[in-house]
Amino acid sequence: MSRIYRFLVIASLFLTVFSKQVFAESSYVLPYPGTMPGSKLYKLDLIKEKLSEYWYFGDFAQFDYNLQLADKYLVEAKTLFEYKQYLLGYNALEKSNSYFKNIPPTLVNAKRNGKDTSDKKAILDQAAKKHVEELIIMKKNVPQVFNWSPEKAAPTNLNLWKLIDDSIKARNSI
Amino acid sequence: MIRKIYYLYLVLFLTFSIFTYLFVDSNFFYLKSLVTGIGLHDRILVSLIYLLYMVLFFILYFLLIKNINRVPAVIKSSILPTVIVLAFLIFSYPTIISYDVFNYAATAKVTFGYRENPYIIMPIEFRQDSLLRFTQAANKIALYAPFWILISFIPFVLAFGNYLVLIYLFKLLAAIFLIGCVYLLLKLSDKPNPALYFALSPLVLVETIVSGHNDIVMMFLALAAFYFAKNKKILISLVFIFLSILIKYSTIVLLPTLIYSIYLIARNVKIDWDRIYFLNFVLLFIVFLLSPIRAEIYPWYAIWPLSFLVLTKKRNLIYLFTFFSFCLMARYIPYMLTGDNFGLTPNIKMFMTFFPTGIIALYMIFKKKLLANNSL
Repeated sequence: MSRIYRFLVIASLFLTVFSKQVFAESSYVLPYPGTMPGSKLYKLDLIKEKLSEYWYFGDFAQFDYNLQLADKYLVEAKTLFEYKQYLLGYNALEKSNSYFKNIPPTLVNAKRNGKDTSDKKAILDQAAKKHVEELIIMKKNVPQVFNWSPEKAAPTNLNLWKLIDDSIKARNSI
Repeated sequence: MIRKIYYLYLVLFLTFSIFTYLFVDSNFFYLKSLVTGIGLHDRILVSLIYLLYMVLFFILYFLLIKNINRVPAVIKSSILPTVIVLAFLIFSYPTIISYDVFNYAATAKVTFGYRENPYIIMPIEFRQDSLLRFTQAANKIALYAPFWILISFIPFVLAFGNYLVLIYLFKLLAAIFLIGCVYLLLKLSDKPNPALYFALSPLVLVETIVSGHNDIVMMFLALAAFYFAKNKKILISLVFIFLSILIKYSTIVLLPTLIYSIYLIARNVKIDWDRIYFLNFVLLFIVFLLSPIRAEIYPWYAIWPLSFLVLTKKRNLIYLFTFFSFCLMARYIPYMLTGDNFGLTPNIKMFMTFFPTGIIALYMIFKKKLLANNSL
């Protein structure tokens, strides 16, 4: 009997030490990066984005609009950080956060208007989870603080880690 | 004799309205007590009955248009029976051949009920709505242009949330626009024949009043555009053609002929309207033939070219189109019989639609009869 116990203890220790840790991953799919700052089409994209706000009327449409843009700017930030464009990436992540914060109120309004929001809530949960996954990866690849020195103005410190932490917090708080 | 034929035609439509109720879907809970399941399970029987109806409809229709000069007097003395049959048709059950009227209801509900943009939000996103139980295109955004969606506000409001009432109201709306088309055809022609040819067509009656398709609204507005152009009311004419385009886009092809007509009017040049109407027929027929690019050839699309064909003097072509209309209405049979839209069904439908008509068309071209001018 003691042999069996010994075997089980050794086997479980072996599995604990050598097994690969696996975390649940969100199946939510983020979009490809679109036009980037600096591209001639980027300004057109911004105009289209502004006009779309009126086209996307209705609670669910507003949900889609804000989520699409939160996704878009998250991907934009990630790409820009990869290219070490920290200032532009910082701005993109701030935009993503701003659109993300607009999403929960659309669901509150939809519920108030008698719409079943359970599907949308599930999508939002998945999206938030995916965002957090990406933000964690992002944090590993950027410096904690980036000193930005514009030509004709005082230098500014961009606290990238703090922004990423705040972004994660915002996604986890929904 | 013509009176008897006309009455028989009316009686046939009356019984056809009742026949449509064999196709009531059990998910359409408003009519649960009328569900028989025959349309779904006795496929051979209902396909044969449907075929018999179509054969009889078109034979009687052909006899009526062959004696079209005697028809107005018969209709004038039979107003009440005609109105009764029209009412029966409005209360027929639409899904015998198409679920489109349910799609109109779904789009109206998304737009005016939930106040969402129907070009972004699909009906399926409102899972709690009972509409999803009986509508078929719930996973699609709005397929129609904005003016149609705007018009659908009227039946939506008048239905007070009852989908059964909403369906009948859409069909009533289609019937009103059909009457509008008949009125315009009477105005555009110096004879009542084109209007009668159009109004009595089994394809027009079934697809407009039984199925409630909105194509009739688009064609009413297009005919109105040419009517106002003819009466030198250019601005109103242009407004109507744009409204027509904003129903279902197809009439955009009429812009060149309308603008050309307006140009000739402005220059005080006498217009050969018969030629303009024939050109409109050709343009709309091309769009009709190109419709498989988007989906497939639907029989109700034939209403587009037919609306202008009846105004031309090409009687043989009109007869050929009558036969073609029959072939189009017969397209429903393969699906009715098999319940399957795949496999051989699309090929059989294509063969049924074009092969018999093509043979007759070739014969008429060979005999130089197809485009001969000979008014109805």
